[in-house]
Amino acid sequence: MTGMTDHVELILDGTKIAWHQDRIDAWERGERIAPITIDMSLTRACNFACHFCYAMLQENERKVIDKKAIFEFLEDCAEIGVKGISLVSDGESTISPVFVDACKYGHELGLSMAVGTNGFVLNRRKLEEVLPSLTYLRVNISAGERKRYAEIMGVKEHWFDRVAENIKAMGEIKREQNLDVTIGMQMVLMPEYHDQIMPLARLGKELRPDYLVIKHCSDDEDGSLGVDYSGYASLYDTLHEAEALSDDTYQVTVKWSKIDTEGTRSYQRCYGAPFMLQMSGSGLVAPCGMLFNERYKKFHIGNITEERFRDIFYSDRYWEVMNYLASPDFNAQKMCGSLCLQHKVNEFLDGYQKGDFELPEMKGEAPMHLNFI
Amino acid sequence: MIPNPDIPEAFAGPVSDRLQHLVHYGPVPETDATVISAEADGMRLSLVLDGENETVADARFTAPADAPEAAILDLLCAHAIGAPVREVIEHGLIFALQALRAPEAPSPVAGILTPRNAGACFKTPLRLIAAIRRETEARFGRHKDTNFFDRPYSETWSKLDKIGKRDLVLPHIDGFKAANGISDDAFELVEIDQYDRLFLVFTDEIPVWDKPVLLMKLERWLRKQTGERIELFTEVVKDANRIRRL
Ligand code: SF4
Repeated sequence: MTGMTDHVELILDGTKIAWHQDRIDAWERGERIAPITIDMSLTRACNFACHFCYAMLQENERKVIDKKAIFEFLEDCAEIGVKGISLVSDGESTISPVFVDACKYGHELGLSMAVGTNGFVLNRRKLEEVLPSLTYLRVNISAGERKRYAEIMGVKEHWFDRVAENIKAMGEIKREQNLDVTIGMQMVLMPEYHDQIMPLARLGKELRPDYLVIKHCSDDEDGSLGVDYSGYASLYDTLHEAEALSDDTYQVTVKWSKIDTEGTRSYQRCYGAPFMLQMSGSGLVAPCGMLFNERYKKFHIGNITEERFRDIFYSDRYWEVMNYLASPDFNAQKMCGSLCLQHKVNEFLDGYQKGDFELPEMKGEAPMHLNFI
Repeated sequence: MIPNPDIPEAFAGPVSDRLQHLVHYGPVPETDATVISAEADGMRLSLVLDGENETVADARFTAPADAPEAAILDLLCAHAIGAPVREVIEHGLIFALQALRAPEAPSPVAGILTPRNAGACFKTPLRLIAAIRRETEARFGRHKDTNFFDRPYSETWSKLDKIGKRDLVLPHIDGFKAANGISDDAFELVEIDQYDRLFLVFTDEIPVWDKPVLLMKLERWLRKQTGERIELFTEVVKDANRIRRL
């Protein structure tokens, strides 16, 4: 498979949970299901200072994930049945000394590995080493012009050039080595970055990643980042214009399904976390990124720098927390920030649980990146 | 008492308690109001609507009075009154499930507990709710908007100012400490914010990994003692990244 491939769909706005019927059935029977996807980071640290960064709200007791901890964690994931691990979450994993080894070892163990990064330290040498182990690599880049990039991403202007160069190199290496990896760019869009939508869509066309995805910015339940969700509606024309720049090998996708909701949730219970777990770059295991901060200590389950992940996963405490989220003790409409990573999975499972629909029979070829639901 | 195989151990005590004091048992009294009813396996559930607005004014059921389903349906009816019929369909049974579950007893399943896997006694209530749903949708159409129904805090609680709320909660926190052998200094309630969230601060006395467990236990305790949906938090920790600033 090269490029974005001919027939298989790349779903950037939606969920692939329905393709994991066996796991849904096991969940419904009340079994302890392993997460299909774990989103995590190898560190809490970051070399950027993005204006929109949710990680600013996720501070918790910092511990170092060393090679032993991450290798044991990956082994446990493979053993219990985790399928995909995305290194995104609340830190810049590429600056961790264990980054390359973690990607390679996870891949060797049969796990699908993926990375979300600012792309700054990923030079050609590192990319050549790591890209063969990845399902996708996505670069966060929320501007298409140097000056605005510096303002929005909190770095020096010339860093923009280096990141652009690295993105270009990613595509080149992929083509040279005929790799399966998908290369993406991601714009986290605050309404006030509207002037950068088209420059970035055009930059992507020039740099030739496989896709550019434009998504809303998440905020916590107190609105700490100040995201104006009503501001997105006025950008719809520009967003459609950006999507129109798609061609055969470059897809521009707007996450309409989330932007359209203006930050609200249709569900009150959270069933998605056991299917899609998040972990902090501190090693903390909590159901999701929005609950990483010490403030949500009540939801904290364990730490992979102190305990084996398989023990955390099989513990009653893990299932106590997951059950709390699925019970009337909890109301995601009131107690959560806006539009979490698990949002689409939650919508699906909640609708199914309420009896809105039967599980659909999935036919045809499975979409790409199936293990990242 | 001979254990009933249809009732998981976790529900046995609460079910038998509820069966002693059924509140919503019986047929619906004569009324001109809209009634949505369903029947399955010899049991019946009826929701009387308040005028045109789809809010449940009264809820009744009939079932063999010693059947565990009677306890479930009674709790379902309790949740239904004052709620939109849609809320009853979507969440009624999980509220009943929650109310029937003795928190310290082992769960009937190892993973996530839902009405669908909570045992044979939930089968008929699930059928009744599915039928209520069909009937409601036939009458009112399918809802496309979002259900935001949430039981508010009680009027008594809402009328209290912060000091009043604090005074109400503090004796229960002290009671919890005493019942669990926790010293007075181990943690302290420092704030109740405008959304009624309670913030605690811990001293080093409680080991790090005991805090999450303790917080959940204390929250359950406070909810039981006060009847309010108390939410506990600890203090926010600010971003330790030196270059990033909110
Ligand atoms: S719904 Fe709430 S608890 Fe569940 S994953 Fe999203 S933010 Fe976390």
